[in-house]
Order: sequence, then structure tokens, then C-alpha cells
Amino acid sequence: MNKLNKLMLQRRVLPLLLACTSLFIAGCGSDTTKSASPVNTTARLIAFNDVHGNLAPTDSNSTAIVPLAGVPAGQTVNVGGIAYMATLVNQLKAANSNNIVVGAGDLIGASPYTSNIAHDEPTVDILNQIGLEVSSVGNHEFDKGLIELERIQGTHTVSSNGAVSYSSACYPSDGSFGVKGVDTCLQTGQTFSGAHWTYLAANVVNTSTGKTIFPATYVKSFGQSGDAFRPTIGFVGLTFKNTPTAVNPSGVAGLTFSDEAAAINLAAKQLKSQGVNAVTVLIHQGGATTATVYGDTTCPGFSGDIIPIISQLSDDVDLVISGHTHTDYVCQLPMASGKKVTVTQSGFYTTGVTAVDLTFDQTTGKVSAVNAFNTPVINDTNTTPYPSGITALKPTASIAAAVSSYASLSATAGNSIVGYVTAKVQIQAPPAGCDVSHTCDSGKRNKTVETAMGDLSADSQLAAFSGVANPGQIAFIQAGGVRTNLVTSTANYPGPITYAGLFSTNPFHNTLVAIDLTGAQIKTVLEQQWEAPNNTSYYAPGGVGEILSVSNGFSYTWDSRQPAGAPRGTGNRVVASSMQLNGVPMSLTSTYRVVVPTFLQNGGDNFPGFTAGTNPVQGGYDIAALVNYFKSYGQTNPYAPVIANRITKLDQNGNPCATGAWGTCGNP
Amino acid sequence: MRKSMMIKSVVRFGQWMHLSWYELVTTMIAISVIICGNVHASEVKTQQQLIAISAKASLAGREACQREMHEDAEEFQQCASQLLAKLPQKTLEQKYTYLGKAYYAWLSSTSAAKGGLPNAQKSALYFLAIFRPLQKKLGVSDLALCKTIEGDCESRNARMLVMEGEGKKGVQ
Repeated sequence: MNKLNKLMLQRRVLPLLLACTSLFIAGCGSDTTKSASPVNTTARLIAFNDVHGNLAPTDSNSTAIVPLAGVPAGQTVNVGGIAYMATLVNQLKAANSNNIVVGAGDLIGASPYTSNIAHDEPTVDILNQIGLEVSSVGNHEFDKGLIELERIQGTHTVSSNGAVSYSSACYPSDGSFGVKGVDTCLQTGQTFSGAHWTYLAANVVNTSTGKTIFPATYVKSFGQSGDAFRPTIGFVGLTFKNTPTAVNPSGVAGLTFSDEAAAINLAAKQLKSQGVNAVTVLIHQGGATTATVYGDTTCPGFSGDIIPIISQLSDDVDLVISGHTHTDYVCQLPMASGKKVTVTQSGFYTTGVTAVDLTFDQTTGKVSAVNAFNTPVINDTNTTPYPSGITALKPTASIAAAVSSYASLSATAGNSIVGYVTAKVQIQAPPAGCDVSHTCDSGKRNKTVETAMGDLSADSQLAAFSGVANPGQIAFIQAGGVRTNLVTSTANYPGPITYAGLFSTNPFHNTLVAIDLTGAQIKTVLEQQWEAPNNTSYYAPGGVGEILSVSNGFSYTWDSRQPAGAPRGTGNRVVASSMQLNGVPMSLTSTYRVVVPTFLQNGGDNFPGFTAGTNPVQGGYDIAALVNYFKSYGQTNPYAPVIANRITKLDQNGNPCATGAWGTCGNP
Repeated sequence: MRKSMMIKSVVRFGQWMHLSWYELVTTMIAISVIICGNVHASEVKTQQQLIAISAKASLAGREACQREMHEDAEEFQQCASQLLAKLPQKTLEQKYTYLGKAYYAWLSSTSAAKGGLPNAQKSALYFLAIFRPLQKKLGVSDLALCKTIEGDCESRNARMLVMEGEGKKGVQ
């Protein structure tokens, strides 16, 4: 090849090569652009747990420690309030139209007054407005039993055009509760539509039917019809298997709670076989880290009951959203194969929200990335501005209006005067021997002594079973059921007490029941006040145990020289011969009619002796009993509280301790 | 008084051993070097071992009481304080065990306070007042103690110092 030919070749070939190269590069670039955006699709899960009917910021009065650049200790901020949480949820939704709002249980139950007095209907209504779509049950969903939970869930009816309508019933009327427009059916037209979300209960089986009480799974497809790829997420929802130990036994009667991991693996396998792209577990069980700032994603020192559950999960699971332990975390925990799965919790009482972005590889249809983070619900109730870098949320106006409306309704119902008292009715003895560290005089109950409020509660329960065919003779109430002092609405004495004030003393909506127990069985339950494990219960200086309040007419003596903490069935503190009913010694072999909350009837608070009761007859609610009891105490004859000394404690010499001086007399 | 008795004892020892003053002084110096050297070596080793005891104790404390941290921190505080009340503090090992459990109780309360659990801050201040003086008495540094339980020590120790200031102000 001569030089000319070579030059020609170079002149012809090189531009061709350059052109081809350019096209190739351009082509590559074009291909890259084409494949980068559609290959991956992301869906966002927005999650919260343990709302517990907290609506207003003042329901929890919570502060959190949030990260702040340059301040290793973090910044204290005011958090919580469901109207603020709604704003955050909306912000998180706006970032991705492929979103779903999910819950991990205890959305209702153990609620503050506004939601509680209306049977959590206000919380249900507001969570509907926020757009909650699916949630696991938690233990507190069972507080009032399956029938009430089914009322909360309501009925979802899908019409031929795909529209869903919701309906439910008002709270059953029992004389004190179930008044439409007052404590139930507060929505337009005095209706209650029930929860618009779907409760899942993969491990809760109704023993009579052998089926789960709610669906085990829920499937959600994202995107629009016609999209090349529409990711589908399957949800498995459940609560912890030991739920029966954490709630009123009557609330879970007839239900079986099975192993969590087995239930999850079974449901996850079914979902994957149905073709879902990802399986997310919603579980009411959790753990805790040692992080000291909200929103940490490094998960230091994680511990808790969820770990053994996660360690048994199959690789079918792609994400776990948890609850129950009232804290926040984003952790990577190993499943059975060793593969790690993201496990989250948002906090509690509307103080935080989790967002999880699940990225799907369109080619494989599988999850290619999981990015989770927690955001605190910083409200704007602070009086001084936050440092730069921290922004408070504004409340969502419509939700704030709903909260305000429900607060007004509950106040109207709660402000009604139900009786009069001459003095504060206390849940604790005078604070002899109390010190600051044990909060004896801060309104916290002292479970180890007879109290005026306990005596009053027991008397009201006995009165509720008077005038019936087989009337009650003795009433017992557990120390934990009497929560706070009864005070007047005016703070003056004598003075009026309101429904809300009375409600705060007995806030559990416990149902009362009358049962038969022999004298020996009554002694057995009395011994259980100090037998293990009740001897390690609420500590107060000079006292141990879980004292049952008893009604007027019943009295007995216990001997502090005998040891506390005896194994169950071996306690010997109650002086059998001292048990008297209306001044008459009781017989261990005779049968007595005993009134208790169903919580005790089912052995709650480590009183299994009550389960021996026979011939049960159900009554109304404890709060109804109190309201009725006070009807006879008007402005001219107010109720005069007193520690009635129905229970006598013997000191180290066998002498009776003075009223209100148990803490400094004899052995604990 | 004690010094003069010690000198008399050393002199009697020298007489008993038939040592000259030079031999006696040399022997005493040699014995001192050996004892001090051993004590120093054992102190370094023991400090590490003792801190390990604290770490182990903190884990045991977590097992015993963490479930009580739920509705609010009061039941947790009660559980952990009862746990501490049962612990003897006579030996050095026992003191380090106590330190580990009390430190864990503070950390658990502090961690619960980060999300606003009712009474968690109060519980943290309660346990801070228990472990902090003991920590200082035992001469354990903030960093060494922090490392007994996994987590971000910069953030945690900063939080502790803030809380210490709040405690002094009487804030609860």
C-alpha cells in the first residue's frame, strides 16, 4: 500500500470509524437512558404503630430527642398529635404516588379520655381520614373482646363497580354507655362506619370455627393499569402469641394465638406462590436499641422478643414492620438462612412515622433495595423556636377540626355532674414512709395498702349486684383497676364530681360478674395478694403485694409476721378465723356470692383463685356501677371518703397496725 | 504513727536476717519494685476484666427488666431499682457489677426518652444519680463505660453530660 492509498484509507476509514463510534456511544447512551428509569420501580410504605387513641398533643405531652448537626446530644422537641402526624403522612405520600399507609397494631385501646369514652370511635374515624389501609391487630385490640373488635372493624362491601362501602353498629346500649351522639355513633346521622382499613390476624384463630378471626393476608398492587410493571406487595399481619397474658382474659376467650414465625412463613409462602413481588410482615411485637437519638438507623444493641421470631423466618419475607415496644428503630436482622431483613418501628402515640421505599427490579420482579427511615412528628406547640435545621409540622386542618370536635363532645359528656364528695377520695394511704423516688404522693397508686378509693370502688360494685335474685355479698377489685384519686371539678370540698373525673379512676371498661366461691376459696385468693409473684409487684416503702380492695361488710386480718413471697398455694398470712361477713365469722366450707371484674374472674393480675368461681352472672361496667352508686350522694349529702379499715394488718408483736400506717408498721 | 511502726518492723526484719543497713535498704527497694510492678500489671488487667464484668452485668439487667419499659418508664424504674437493691457492693467485682446494671438502667431510660416515653427522662435522671458517683469513684472513664454497651458513644456521652446538668438544676 503506497502512502497515497494509505492516506486515502485513513481519510475514508477514520471518519467512518469516528462516525460509527459516535453512533455506538450515542446508542449506548440512549440505551442506558432507556433502561435506567423503567428497570426499577419503587413503592413507599408509610407505617405507624401503637397509636393507642392518642389524638391531641396533650394526650401524651411527649418530647423526643432528635438529631441536630453539630450537637451530638441532639435537640429536645415536642412531638405527637394525630393532626400533625396526618401532615407528615401526606408529605411522605407526596414523594411517591405508589404508596400505602399501614399499621402494626394497638391503634386503639388504653386510650386517653377523648377516644376512650367514645369506645375509640374518634380514633377509628381519624385514621380512616388519614388513609390507613391495612394493619395487624395488637394485644390492645382485644381489650374489650372479639365482638367489640368486630364492631370496630365493621363490614366492607365491594359493589360491582369496585367501590367499597363501610358500615358498622353503634356501641351496644347498657344504660350508661351506648347513647347515640353522646358516646357512640358520633358521625353524621349518628352512625359509625367502622374501620376502613383491614385488620389482619394470621395467628389468631377462633377455636369454635378453626379459622382466623380476620384475614391473614392483604395484597396491594401499585401503579396504573397499562403500566409495563405493577409491583404487588403481600402483607401478613399478626400479634405476639403471648397476647392472652397481656390483656383481660375475657377479651381473648375462645381464641388461640399461635406461633408467630410459623404463621408468617406459611402466609408468606402462599403469597409468593400467588405471585406477589414482595412480602411485608406487620407484627405487633418488637425490641429496643440503645440509641439515644430518634431516627437512628444503625440499630445499636438491639434486643427484644422479636429477635427469635425473625431468626426463624424464611427468605420469602422482604420487610418487617413491627410495634408493641413503644420505641423507634431501623434494623437489619438475620432470618433463618442468615439473610438479613429490614425491621422497623416508628415509635408510639403518634410521635413518629416510618417510611420504607421498596425498589423492584422490573426484570426479575424482585425487591432490589429496601430503604427505611423514621421521621419524628414534631409539632408546633413549643413556645421557643427550634434551632435552624429543625422544622415543626403544621397540623392538617381537617384532622385538627375533627380532634377538636371529638374533644368537645367528650367534654360535654364528661362534664356532667354525677355526684358530690366531702373530700378527695385517694388511691393511697397517707404517705407515711413515702419518698420522692417512689412517687407515693404524686398521684401514683400504692398497691400495697387498703385505700379509700379502693373501698369506694368495691362498694359500688357490690351495690351493682344488690336487689337481684342472687345478690352479691362481697366485692373485690384489683389494685391496678383503681387508677387515680377522685377529685372535684372545682377543686373545692365539698364539691361536685364529674363523669370524666369518675371515669379516670376506673378507666378500663371492666365488666362485672357475680360468682360463687367458698370461704376456703376466698382465703386462697386473699393469700395470692402476697404469694409469688405478687409479692414483687408494685413496690412502696414498707409494703409489698397486690392488695384487693374489699366491699363494706367483709373484713379480715393478715399477719405480717408470716413471710411474703410464698409459692402459690402455700401462703399463710391471712388469719382464717378473722374473716367476717357483716360481723359474722365466715365458714371455709360455705359458699358466698362474690362480685369481681371479669378481669379477676379470669385470673388476671396473678389471682388464679378466682377462676374457681362458679355460677357466673354477668353485670354491667364498673364505671356504670360507680355512676349509679353516686346517684344517692347529692349536694346535700355528699359522699365522705374514709379508709374503712376493713383489712387489718398485724405488726411483729401481733398487734393491729393503725389505719393508714401500714408502711411503718410490721413487716412489708 | 503507722509510718514509725512500719520502720520499726523493717529494722527488726533486718536484725532478724542479720542484714547490714546497705543490704536492708537494697532488699527493701527490690521488694518494693517487685510488688509495685506486679500491682501495676494486675491493676491494668483487672480494670479491663472488671469493665467486662460491668458489660456482662448490663446485659443481664436488660434481660431482667427491659420488658417493663412499655406504658411508661415507672415499672422499669421499679424493676431496675429493685434489681440494684439486691446487689451487694462489698468487693470490687460486685461494685463493677452494680455499675454495669445501673449504667444499663440509665441507658435504657435515656433511649426510651429519645422517643418520649412518659417518665423515661425522670427514670434516666434517677439512675444517673446512682451510677455516676460510683463510676467516678471507680475511676472508669466515660468512654470505657460507654463501650460496655453497643452504641454511638459521642452522642450518648453528650446526652449524659446534658442530663447531668439538668439533674444539677433539679429538672425532672
